[in-house]
Amino acid sequence: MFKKILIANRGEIAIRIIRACQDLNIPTVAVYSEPDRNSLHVGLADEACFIGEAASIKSYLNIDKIISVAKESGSDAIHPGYGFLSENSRFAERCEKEGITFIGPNSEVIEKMGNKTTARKIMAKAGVPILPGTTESIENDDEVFKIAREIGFPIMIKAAAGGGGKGMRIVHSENELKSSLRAARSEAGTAFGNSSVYVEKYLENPRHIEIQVLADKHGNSIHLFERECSIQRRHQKIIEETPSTVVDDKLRERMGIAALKAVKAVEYTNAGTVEFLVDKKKNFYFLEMNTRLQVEHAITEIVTGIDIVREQIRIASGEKLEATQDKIKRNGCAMECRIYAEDPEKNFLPSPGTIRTLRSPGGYGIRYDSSAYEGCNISVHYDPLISKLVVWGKDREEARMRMLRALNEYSITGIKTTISFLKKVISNKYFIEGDIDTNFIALRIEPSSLPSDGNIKIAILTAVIESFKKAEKESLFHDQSTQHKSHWKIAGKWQMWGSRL
Amino acid sequence: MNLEVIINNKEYNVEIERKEKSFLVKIDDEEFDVDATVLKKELYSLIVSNKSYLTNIKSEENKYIVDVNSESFEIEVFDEATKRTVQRKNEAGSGKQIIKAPMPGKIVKILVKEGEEVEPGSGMIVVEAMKMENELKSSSKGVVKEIAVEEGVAVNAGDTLIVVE
Repeated sequence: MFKKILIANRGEIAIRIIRACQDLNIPTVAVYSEPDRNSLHVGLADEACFIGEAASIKSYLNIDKIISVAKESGSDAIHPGYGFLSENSRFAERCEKEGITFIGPNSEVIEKMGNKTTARKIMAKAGVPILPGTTESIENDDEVFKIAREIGFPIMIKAAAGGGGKGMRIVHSENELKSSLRAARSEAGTAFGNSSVYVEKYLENPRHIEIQVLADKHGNSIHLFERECSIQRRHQKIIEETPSTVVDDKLRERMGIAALKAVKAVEYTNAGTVEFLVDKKKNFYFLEMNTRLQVEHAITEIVTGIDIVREQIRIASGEKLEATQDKIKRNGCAMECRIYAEDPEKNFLPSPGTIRTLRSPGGYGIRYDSSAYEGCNISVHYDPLISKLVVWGKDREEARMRMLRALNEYSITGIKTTISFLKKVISNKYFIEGDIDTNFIALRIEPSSLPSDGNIKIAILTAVIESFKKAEKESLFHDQSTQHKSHWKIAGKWQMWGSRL
Repeated sequence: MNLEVIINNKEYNVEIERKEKSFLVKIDDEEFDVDATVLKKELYSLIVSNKSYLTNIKSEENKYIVDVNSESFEIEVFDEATKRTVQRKNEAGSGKQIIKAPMPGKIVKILVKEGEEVEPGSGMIVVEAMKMENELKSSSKGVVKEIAVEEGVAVNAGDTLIVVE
């Protein structure tokens, strides 16, 4: 097992990983940028090293610095978390060269899966269903026209090096094709330094369902069932649940087998996620493979009882998977809400700043993964995720009601958050019925809503009482300074008010 | 005590007086008997006709931000003395809208030209911050008087971007 693990990340995921290390009695090294000196992950780790300025490129993406800090601190492994360097094959390769274990798959696998056309090619060959389209990137515009006619509109143009919704264009007809192609290429060039694109058939309103896999270095692999991640805004997930309301045992088995085929095809090791799109007829198609820990991994942990981060560390150190596929059983349902520092009323405009007050939910069936505390600053420099609220229920409705209860308990002031928006989604009639797809937010949820009349009245009551008390205090001060009341009278007044409010 | 309350551009007349163990508050013509205690600084517990609420309040002179059930309200409270001065201020400043940078970021695109007529909800300018592009919209009808920035420049929170009149 490792002597010491460096966590090359920040925020809630850094804390999640520190906790897993501490459960295994492995010392941890946190890294931090200038504005993160007061972040919670720094305080919770055993050691902490400064790595650079606020801009990610100078700190959390600074490969040279992170490697040198790892060596100086005597860390023999690095956990990259998600985002930042987690899917950077050059970073994984550098770790390999320096004799530091990268907790994740090897650099070759990351590179193959990071290139979307290579990944499509490999999956097609391995017998994993892919969407119709090209498995090569296309330079020639005429060829794009030809393929579009073959597979039929709508089509999707995607960046070959892409991800996260960038360099992506939906094209509904031939006359939009040329301009969309140009836009996708330029966006891909800026975002990934690589302007090659490929073409895929576009599915209207599919579901986004993924399979969690674990594979050790001894050729054993298992899947931990699916996660339903269709509730998205800006191509980013905000609510996830398992199981999916649309996946029955038969489909689950077929998707699980396909995911394990993907694992075998690239000799994948460590934790990974195979993402699929599922259409209305329950056909599923390979979308991409995430070669890292997912934000939403906790819902799988809750229903399977498997600590995925712990498994990642064990696997990376060369240990064998403990469980075999037939031992993996699902217990109940789990749901996650991601709480972002964003203003849902203003098109999810980020709302950085200082958290003034915070009251977090708790109780039976609640897991709360967060890096926030009262007085902490949500920085403009990084992802605005504040926390993840995860609940368990014996069935979906129990989990859903528990989530609503937990969101009602949750209070953050000082910045705008998505808490009230999430409540709206969780209470939506179609969500309750499990009738969801990736278009759900746009179709079913009003972006802004009138504040409830009851809440307005309560807010007014609070404000006028506060205002009234302020006036009372001022008049007391006034009395004291101008009318020379006896000390006894003033003391009596203080006492009287002190006992009331 | 008589107060005037403004919330979401709407005005309410409020009367408040202390009773033995509670406050008697009249909002317009609706009466509330409110048992209010302070749990800690800025955190209230209200019991109103047996219904219980936790509310957070932040105050700055006569402006308050109150959070109730994850909804946040900006409230202005005026007494007899402050009412008049405020009214005068409002009259002077009407019709002018200043679009400011809500946070530090970079100007990605300017969607309007000087002299252009805009409607409430018209997209005005795109600012990139926290790795995301955000379109700022006009909140009123008017004409673009001034564009204070150029595409590509970095801005700080509170910087004036566009003036509409």
